[in-house]
Amino acid sequence: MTALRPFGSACEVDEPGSLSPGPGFHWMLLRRHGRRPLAVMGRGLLRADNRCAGLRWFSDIAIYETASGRFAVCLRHVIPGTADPVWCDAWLCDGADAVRHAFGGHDPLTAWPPWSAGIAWTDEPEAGRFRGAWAGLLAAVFGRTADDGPA
Amino acid sequence: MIRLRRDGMRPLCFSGHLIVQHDGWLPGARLWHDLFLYRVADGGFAVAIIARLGGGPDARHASAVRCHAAQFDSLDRALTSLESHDAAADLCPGMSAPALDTFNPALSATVLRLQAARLQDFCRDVVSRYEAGAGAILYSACRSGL
Repeated sequence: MTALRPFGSACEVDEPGSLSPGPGFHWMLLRRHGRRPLAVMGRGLLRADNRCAGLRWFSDIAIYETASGRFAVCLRHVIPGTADPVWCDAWLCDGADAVRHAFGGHDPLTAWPPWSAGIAWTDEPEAGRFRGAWAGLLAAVFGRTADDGPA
Repeated sequence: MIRLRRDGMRPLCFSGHLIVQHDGWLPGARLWHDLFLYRVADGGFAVAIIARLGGGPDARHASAVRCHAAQFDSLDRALTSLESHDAAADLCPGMSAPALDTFNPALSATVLRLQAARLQDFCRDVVSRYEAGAGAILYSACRSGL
């Protein structure tokens, strides 16, 4: 018997199925960019961020195992000190490769350009640091693959 | 009685209450969207989307440049209207940069390309901010038990 979902119908739901999901699982609501949130019954596997001095924003990622047997992945770009993330999204993935692909296919400069934070759009070093910090976060979590090019 | 301003139309008037709202202003924002979701007493929901133009140090001196409001018979349709709103359509000439004098013979292709790039960036920024706001209000609506 799974716990009743504590959210309304205004979200997309990853139905957990009829089996008891086991310890540690609970309902969570994952915010998405421009879309209804994603409700999943899951438990956290990993959370990491690249918050560091010198960057005017940071990114964080989270991976959850869901009671439906899939993975829910979240990523956010955050300006420190602000209440809401400037960009966030969540997806469901069927396997570990899909998780890696979901994060690897994300370009923070396309999703959330640095001029949104008041940084001059011609400030290429700052933009490069943003993209580099994102790549560094992925490398730290997933390791480096041949697709990533030289270190 | 709630009265929502609409561009080119009479105001939308109904009895009801505000469920959730999202204020889209962020430091440095030139154009942003404030979003509102209402429950209508007679049944259904209403959505208001207000595009505001500012540029000052805070949101107090902003002016509403586009006002959209509509009533829906179901929550799903109301939320779909928030998800599908075309924020780029709320842009007006001169919002992002002074208009160029296109009759000026000294105007170079480089300046034009630069202006075009600025406009594209501004447009992407406005749309991205709108989508962040839409995601936030949809999240709040769901948390409130809708």
